[in-house]
Amino acid sequence: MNLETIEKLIQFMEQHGLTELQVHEGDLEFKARRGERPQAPFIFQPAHGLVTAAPLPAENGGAAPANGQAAAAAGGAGPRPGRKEMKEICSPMVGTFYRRPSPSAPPYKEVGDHVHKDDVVCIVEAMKVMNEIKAEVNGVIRKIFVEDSSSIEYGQPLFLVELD
Amino acid sequence: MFSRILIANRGEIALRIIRTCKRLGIETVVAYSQADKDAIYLKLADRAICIGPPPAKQSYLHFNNIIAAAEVADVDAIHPGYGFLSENAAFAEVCRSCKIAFIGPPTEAIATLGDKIRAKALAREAGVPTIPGSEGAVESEDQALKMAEKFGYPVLLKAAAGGGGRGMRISHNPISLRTNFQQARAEAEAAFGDGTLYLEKLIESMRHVEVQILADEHGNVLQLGERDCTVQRRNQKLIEESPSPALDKRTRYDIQIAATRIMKAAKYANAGTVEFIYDLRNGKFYFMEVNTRLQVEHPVTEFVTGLDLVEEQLRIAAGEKLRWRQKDIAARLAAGGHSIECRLNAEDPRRGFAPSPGKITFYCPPVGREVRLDTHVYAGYVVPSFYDSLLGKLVVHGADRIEAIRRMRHALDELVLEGLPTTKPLLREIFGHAKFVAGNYDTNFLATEMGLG
Repeated sequence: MNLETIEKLIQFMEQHGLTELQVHEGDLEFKARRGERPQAPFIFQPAHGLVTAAPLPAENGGAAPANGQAAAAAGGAGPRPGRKEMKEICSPMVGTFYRRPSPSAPPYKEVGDHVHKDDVVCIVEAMKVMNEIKAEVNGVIRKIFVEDSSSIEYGQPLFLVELD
Repeated sequence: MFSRILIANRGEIALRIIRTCKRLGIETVVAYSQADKDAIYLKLADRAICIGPPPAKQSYLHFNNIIAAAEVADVDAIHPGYGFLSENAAFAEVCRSCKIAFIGPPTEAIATLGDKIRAKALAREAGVPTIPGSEGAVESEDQALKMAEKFGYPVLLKAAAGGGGRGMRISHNPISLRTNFQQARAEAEAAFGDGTLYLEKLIESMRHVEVQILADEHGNVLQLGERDCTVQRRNQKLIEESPSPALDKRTRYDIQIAATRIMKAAKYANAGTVEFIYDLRNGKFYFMEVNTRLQVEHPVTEFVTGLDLVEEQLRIAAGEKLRWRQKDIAARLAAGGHSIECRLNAEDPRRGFAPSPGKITFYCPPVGREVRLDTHVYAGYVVPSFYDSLLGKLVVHGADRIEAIRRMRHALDELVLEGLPTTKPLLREIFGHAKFVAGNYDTNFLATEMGLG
């Protein structure tokens, strides 16, 4: 890994707005971080020439395994040894995201809560209609991507769930 | 004037609307489907909101998500572009009841003129000639046969809820009329949700001439000259120009007046186009239909009048009075020269114009004086398969028709568009064709002169 490669990697980070990057090439390891600690590491696989975004749990501050195992194939987050499968709950509509059934009530779910597929996880309000959004998966909420009362679009990730 | 609008459309027209808004200092929010996530104009708008998955029904035709996006982004108005929901009276109504301005005509005008039978009746009441045909719907095969006897074959069965050249069937004799009747009804039901049919005598040698109208909400109606859109393939326009090379002064005047009369009768507001058929056999013109929206080929009129029609639409929808008198427009048209547009589609003329989505590997636009290319494509752009095949519109202007044709020829030669089959080579051929250059052809031009039906 020479200086030119390192410069290219840094450019790559800036281009894609990455805050942390780890590259493993044989015995060599390159780790760089800019700005705040990230939540979901971005794994680069030089052998495949593939760059994949694997929404992995930030267990120990984002360190990737040193064995270079493919963390995620292009197009999806596959299960890794010792790790559970993660799924994003995405919005099926455009509207305003609410974590609570009403302003004074407690949120439907918090990080760390278990959800069952028929549990309501949030409300998306559109054109004055409050739509209850169900989890549709069983698992534990690991991350909530959106702030209460913010506007969201179709397909926007709302929750990260670690599947049972 | 609006401070922020939502553009509920895609492709070249979304970009074209953004341009005018930027010039006027209006913030833009563009709604897009997941298939358009790499569209370049998303970055040019002030905000982009994903409104659904690729299929149009779940995105660009999805009322709820579009209105929700308009509310979430707190816009004053929605511009529907052309196609999709632009002529959907129910959508216009929903917008307005949500206190969002719909940049288009009043809901009632959309509903009346969108019903081809009612539109024809309105034209008749306004004293405008209409094609000999059924005065209302044709209820049965027997009724159709009786009418065909009266007007003479060949006849055309048309869907009342159709438009844009779709939902039409020709019959040359009673036997084919019987078969076509049932099939046309079923097709209309499936495509437009309404199986109502009406019947017309088929004009065999005709030109398509339409008049651009601008009307404000204070009762003022202007006509911006006519466009001739005779070069078509299966009733889909390929080339449009203004003025029409086929009309004499008197006919031009009569058609323009007829268009204004219809739109006044319909209490129209905003931009719209009245389409006519010009019968080459007898020199008569007949009302065909009204398009209650901005049309694809509006740049042709922009070149000969010097106006920005999207700007006029915004001003009208914001309640302003038209800033022009008819004599101002007449002066502009008199000095307006000639403009021609051709449509670049991702279609393969050698395979029956089959749509050919794919990746544009190399793109280089023609530029220069009086050459305009309205397109959303770029090198590396992947044309999605979910929507129409229009890649862009190449529009030129010249002092006269010959200069415009020459300009179009070298503009087409300069244009590089590679990676998938397009209509560019065919268009280049047409602009070199003697009959086209002479201005002497009818709507069967492509079929008879170039063997392309």
